[in-house]
Amino acid sequence: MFQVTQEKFSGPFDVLLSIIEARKLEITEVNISQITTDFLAYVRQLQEKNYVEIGDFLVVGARLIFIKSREILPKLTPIDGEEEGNLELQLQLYREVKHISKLLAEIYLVRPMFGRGYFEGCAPEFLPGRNLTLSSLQKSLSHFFIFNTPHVSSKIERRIVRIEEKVEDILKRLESGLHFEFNELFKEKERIEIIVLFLALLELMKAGVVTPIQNEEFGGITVGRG
Amino acid sequence: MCKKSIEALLFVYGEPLSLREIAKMVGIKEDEVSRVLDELKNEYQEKGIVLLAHEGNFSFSTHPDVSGVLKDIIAKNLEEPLTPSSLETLSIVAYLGPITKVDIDDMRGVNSYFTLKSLLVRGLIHKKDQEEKGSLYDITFDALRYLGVTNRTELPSYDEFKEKLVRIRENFIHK
Repeated sequence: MFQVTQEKFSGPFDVLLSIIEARKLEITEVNISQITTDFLAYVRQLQEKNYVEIGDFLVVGARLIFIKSREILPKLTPIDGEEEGNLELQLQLYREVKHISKLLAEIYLVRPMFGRGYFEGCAPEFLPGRNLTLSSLQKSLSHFFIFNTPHVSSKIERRIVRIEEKVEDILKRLESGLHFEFNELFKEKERIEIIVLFLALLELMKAGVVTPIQNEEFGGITVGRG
Repeated sequence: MCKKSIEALLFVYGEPLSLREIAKMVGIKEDEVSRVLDELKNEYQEKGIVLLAHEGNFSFSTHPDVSGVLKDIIAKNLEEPLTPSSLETLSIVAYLGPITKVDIDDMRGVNSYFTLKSLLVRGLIHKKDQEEKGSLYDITFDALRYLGVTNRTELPSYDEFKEKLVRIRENFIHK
């Protein structure tokens, strides 16, 4: 009896071929009919997971039974209009197909070649823009030197922002209304001023002079009287 | 000059170009293009780039010898191994294509509908519809690249396999 292995068969021909090879037989019609029992035993244990696949096995099983019965009843001929097909020929051809599919598996993805399409998306796109010219580069480079020469930077004065000043600012705002949006104070202010404004707000909060309300994280702050 | 132009076209396009397309773009006859392509193919044999030819279409590709360097960069995108059914079907299409589904089914003894679908989706084969007979399936450029051959005749035992098929069929007729 043919031992069913765990090997994945690609279809009924694969199973037939395995049985024939396991028995070291030539592919002839007589031999094929001899292994009918083994083949049917294999089909019987197939789990009905895939009906399409099972169907293919049943078709071949039926053909085997037909060949076998013809041996017993030599006068049996296919019903009119029904192509019998030749299992012996098909199996011999299939054996060759099986052979080349092994050869193909040996070279598949072993030494692949790549076209340019494989690199699509790997490299950043090159979009230089119309204004990229030698002179535009030169111009921007000269700007760079102007702004970075030492005598220019030495002229920058440091502004001193006092926290007391800002406390006054906030209190003045509160005189004109019950509350105001803290962000409004930032308009057109330098970063250092905004920082000091915030410190002033914290100071006033600590002293209980104002009550800030922030409804959501990173949301605007409404400042009201304490 | 036209050799340089053809080379440049193939480089820029990246995608396979047919004889007709090249002839039209360069403004010369197809057989002239064909002759130039033969020359190019020979010239490129020792380079990192090779010229691929498949069913009258041509494309540059990296040489299989350098796949080691490129595989790591690109291999992330290369899919899972093929199942025995897919491999079998791909072999038939590779060696005998363009071929109809009926002929594939006949050789495999099973309905290859789902296997063909999966090969189509993976870009390993393509389908060409015909008006009267069923659609014809053939291997794609990408699949040839994965296999590392510049032409289907370079597939292992190609001639031997074809001869065998003819011989098996003849034996049968004699019987």
